[in-house]
Amino acid sequence: MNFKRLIATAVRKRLASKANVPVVIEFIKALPDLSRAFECSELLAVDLEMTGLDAKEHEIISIGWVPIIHGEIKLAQARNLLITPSKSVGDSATIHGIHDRDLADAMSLEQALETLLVALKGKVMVGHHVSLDVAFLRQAAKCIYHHSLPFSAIDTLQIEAARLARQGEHFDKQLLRLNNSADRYGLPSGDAHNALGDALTTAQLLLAQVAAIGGAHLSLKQLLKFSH
Amino acid sequence: MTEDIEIKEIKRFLQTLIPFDSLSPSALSKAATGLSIKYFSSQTKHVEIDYNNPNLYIVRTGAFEIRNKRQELIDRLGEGDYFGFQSLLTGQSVDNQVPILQDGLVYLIDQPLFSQLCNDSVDFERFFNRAHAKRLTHSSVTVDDKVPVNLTVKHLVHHSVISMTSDNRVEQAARLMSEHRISSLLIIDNEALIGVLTDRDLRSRVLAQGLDGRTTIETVMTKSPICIDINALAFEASLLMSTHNIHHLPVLSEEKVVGMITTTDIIRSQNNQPIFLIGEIARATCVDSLVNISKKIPELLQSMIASDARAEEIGRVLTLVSDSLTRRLLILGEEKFGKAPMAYSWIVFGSQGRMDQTAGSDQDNGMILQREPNDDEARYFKCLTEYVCGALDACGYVYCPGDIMAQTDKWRVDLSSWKSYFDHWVNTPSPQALLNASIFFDMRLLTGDQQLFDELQHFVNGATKGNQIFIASMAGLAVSSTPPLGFFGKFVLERDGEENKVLDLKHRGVALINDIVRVYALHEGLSQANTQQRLNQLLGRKILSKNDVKSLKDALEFIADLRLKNQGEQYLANKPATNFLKPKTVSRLLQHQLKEAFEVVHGAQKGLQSKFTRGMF
Repeated sequence: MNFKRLIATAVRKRLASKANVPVVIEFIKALPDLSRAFECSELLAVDLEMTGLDAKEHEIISIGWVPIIHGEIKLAQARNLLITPSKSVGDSATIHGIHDRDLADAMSLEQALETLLVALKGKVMVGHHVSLDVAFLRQAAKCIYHHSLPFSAIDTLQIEAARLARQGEHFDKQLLRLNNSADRYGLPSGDAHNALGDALTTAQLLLAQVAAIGGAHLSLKQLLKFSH
Repeated sequence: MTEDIEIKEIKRFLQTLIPFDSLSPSALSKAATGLSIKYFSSQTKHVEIDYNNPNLYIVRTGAFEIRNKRQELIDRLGEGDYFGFQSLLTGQSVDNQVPILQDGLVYLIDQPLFSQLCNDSVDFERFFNRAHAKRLTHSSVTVDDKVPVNLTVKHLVHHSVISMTSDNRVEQAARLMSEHRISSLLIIDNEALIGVLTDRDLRSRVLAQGLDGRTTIETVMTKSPICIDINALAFEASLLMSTHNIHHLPVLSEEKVVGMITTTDIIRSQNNQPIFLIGEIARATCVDSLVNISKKIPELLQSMIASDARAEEIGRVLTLVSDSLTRRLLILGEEKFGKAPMAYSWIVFGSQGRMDQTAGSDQDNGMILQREPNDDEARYFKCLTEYVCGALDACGYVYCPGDIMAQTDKWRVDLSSWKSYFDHWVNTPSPQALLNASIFFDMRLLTGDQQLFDELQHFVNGATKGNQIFIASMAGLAVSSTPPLGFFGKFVLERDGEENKVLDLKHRGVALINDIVRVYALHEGLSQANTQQRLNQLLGRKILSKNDVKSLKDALEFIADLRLKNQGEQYLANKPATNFLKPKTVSRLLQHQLKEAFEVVHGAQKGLQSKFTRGMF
């Protein structure tokens, strides 16, 4: 265990040495302790809105997040950033409801990523189908900082899939969608397709899942295991 | 705009909650963006409350309970309910526990944010202070002094007691009266009111008789004057004055004289709508005109509901109107069939006995005859009672579906038969028999022979007081139906005729309280039939705590008030008056208070059960 952690730390240090932006260095150095219990940890539920599903081709136009500090969602520290893309949002506006005119005076991807990295420092990221979000963030980091960033992320979709599979049910993929999952726990569905709204729904879903799996004493490592 | 951190869904939810709906838009946004969210799992059993960092907890989903340290249930909470505000207001820890019945999300508002919201809205602050006081409040039911229907004698009485002893001379009395510019004097010997001396007495009993100023008061005063209780309605006072043709009434508070009320006081207080109606009743010479007059009763009811009169007072006024109708019908009946061949008492039961009649109350009455009648006499009373009951039916007080009416042979009998009925109910109580008989225990003399009634009342009190088997049976009956509250503190709705989901405010609200209080009244041998008055008399007795009495009084007034308001709405919508309330049609605050009132009923039923039915049911 310790050996693994040493390697992880070494990898991070090497990454950090390559980076020359202070925010990135800080982010990489602040290693979240994955052996901690959920109720003693700090997490950040994140959701992105994109112009499409291909990280190489499409762009991030909005990032929303809300922290979960010691098992409690803190709305006061929630953010919802809008990002000016290099190209038009095109038809994707019909999905996320964000139009080019909304983004005219929004921030740059670089500013947004930096703000996210500050908020995410020392925390574990949480997302629903988080691999997609991570792919976009990695791509963005590659473009801006010219090297990749380590994101350890808990995926509420994977947790949900594992739970449904364990119940032996044959389930439709539709059941795993964020709002359908939230429904199963009697949770209110937020403002769908709004990055902050979905981040909040994801955070609430995680709280409910943690309670269902075995309580807040679970370590982050155990939760991450569900996510792969 | 680069950011929009408001989560509309949360704001929308808060906005539906009382008292958050009273916040300014900016404060509401502050609340919606500043709160924290926790998830509580029933596996952890209790919500752990950190008293060093008190929070207002708002239930978003799930179900919770509040229990005190003796583990007694204080409240059940669901979506939109609150807890934790006690420590927020007092800064002290509270021994209450919050068991988690069903997993759920809870919103937390911390002390600094809570204070900001309190500063923003007085209503917001007041709501939590009031909730903290934890007594049911019904601020919506205020007594408006401009509405004379609500006026009680208390509002009109002159509290200065100007009195003399009866051995004084009338000239001293006259001097005292002119000094104080009053038209009457209370005559008090040894702290007891023994008479009244008025301007009119001085004129007609002294001067007109050629007596001089040295005559003692005792010889000319009106002895044992008719008095009125300080809590009576002004309207009742004026009724007493007009029936007895007097202009002064000494006012009593707990049997002690506290002042005097005069016709002038009443005229000054204006409103005469019910008085006007009763005046018309007294002048009516045939059934047809009484039927016409009674068509105005719904309007009278409406104007009282609209003027926010207390439900208790509305019930009394409506009962006084139906009492007057009955009295008038008996007079008309005796004119038609001739004078009654013997003394009788006309007694009333149920809602008229309790003086809490509402729209569409049916008639429940009976007659005590002085002795067993011969054939002619029996025929006479049959005609008289059929005439009165028939006319009451025509006036809107429909025939009792159970035939409990003086026109039914069984309920028009002599005193010893009445005694044997009660003896049977009390000493061989079967649940079914008692179910039908319970309204007889809310009886009142409407008119006729006082002595016959008093004797029956005395007999009943003697038979019931401390009679454990009978009281246990009545208590069992009183808890056989429950208030409509479900497991998660949600209303349990039933369906009305039109398939709407409704609450029955009569049978599962007001009637339950009447039943509970009747048991205590019978146990204590009280003669009152009115539930509020019974509760007043129970105040200070060991059998029921002061708090329980107050809570029951509040709960009764609250539910009865909601029922009347609901009937007022139905009337305005041209719908027939029912006891059914659609909970969605009233505000969250009223829903919340109604739940609290039902909780009081629930608690009182449990108390009744443990006091009287131990081991029997």
